[in-house]
Amino acid sequence: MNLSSCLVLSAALFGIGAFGLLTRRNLIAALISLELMVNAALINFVAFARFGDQLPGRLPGDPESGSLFALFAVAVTAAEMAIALAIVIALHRRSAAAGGRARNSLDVTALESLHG
Amino acid sequence: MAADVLFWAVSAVLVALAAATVLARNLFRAALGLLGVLWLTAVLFIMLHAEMVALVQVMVYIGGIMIFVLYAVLLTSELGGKMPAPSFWKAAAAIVASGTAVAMVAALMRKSGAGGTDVAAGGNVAALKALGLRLLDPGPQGFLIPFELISVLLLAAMVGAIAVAREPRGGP
Repeated sequence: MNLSSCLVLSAALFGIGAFGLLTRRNLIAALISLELMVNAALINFVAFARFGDQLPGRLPGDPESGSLFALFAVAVTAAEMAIALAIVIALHRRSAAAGGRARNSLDVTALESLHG
Repeated sequence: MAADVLFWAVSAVLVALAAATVLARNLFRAALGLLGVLWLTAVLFIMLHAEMVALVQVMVYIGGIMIFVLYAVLLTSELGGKMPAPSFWKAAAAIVASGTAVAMVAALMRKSGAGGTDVAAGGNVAALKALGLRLLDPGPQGFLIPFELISVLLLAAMVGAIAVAREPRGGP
């Protein structure tokens, strides 16, 4: 267990999440894939904090700031997911009120009014 | 050596669960897959001696965000519903795009020659007390201002989420 094995793992998880984000059409499924990518980034923060002094010619590792960056990232993700899921519920309610089919109300390719 | 075996076992299950998450045709199963990924990541954080991050991961991600996601799934879609599979060309394009990103990271890692050696046990560990002192330290190395800002951000996000999701006045 060393820095490069952690980085390989997080790169694999990030790739899987990116694949999901690109192929999913349901808004909630896309958000779940986004969470996978954020999770991979958190693994990177923690791994660099733990193994930071292995990097050639770098400063010695700073374990506290690595953990704190991960904690702040978790808090920002919580805020982001709260807003995103509130938007999901508002969209669903709007399409249900307009008599749309509930199944397609969260299709990201159909949300043209959000393109700006 | 035992830690190595455990690490590779956890990694294999993590990658398998992540693949199941993005490939599941049922939205509820995808959410359960994400739940498993988050648990195993907490295990990984414990193995990397980041106990605080592991605890926050369990409490905030699994206890908070996952409950949010499950509620949203249950409110907006039928349980047995199947999502359509992506078309072949779309899946192929997504594999190429995400594979390119992973290959670039791999090339960069090889070029920088980062960390092939294991650290000695107990080398670079953040103690809980040091973490708390650092978080409330107003000095140049401290994190006091981000800590206060994030509390304002969370409050704003909470109010905003309620404002966005609540029933419009006068009924739908």
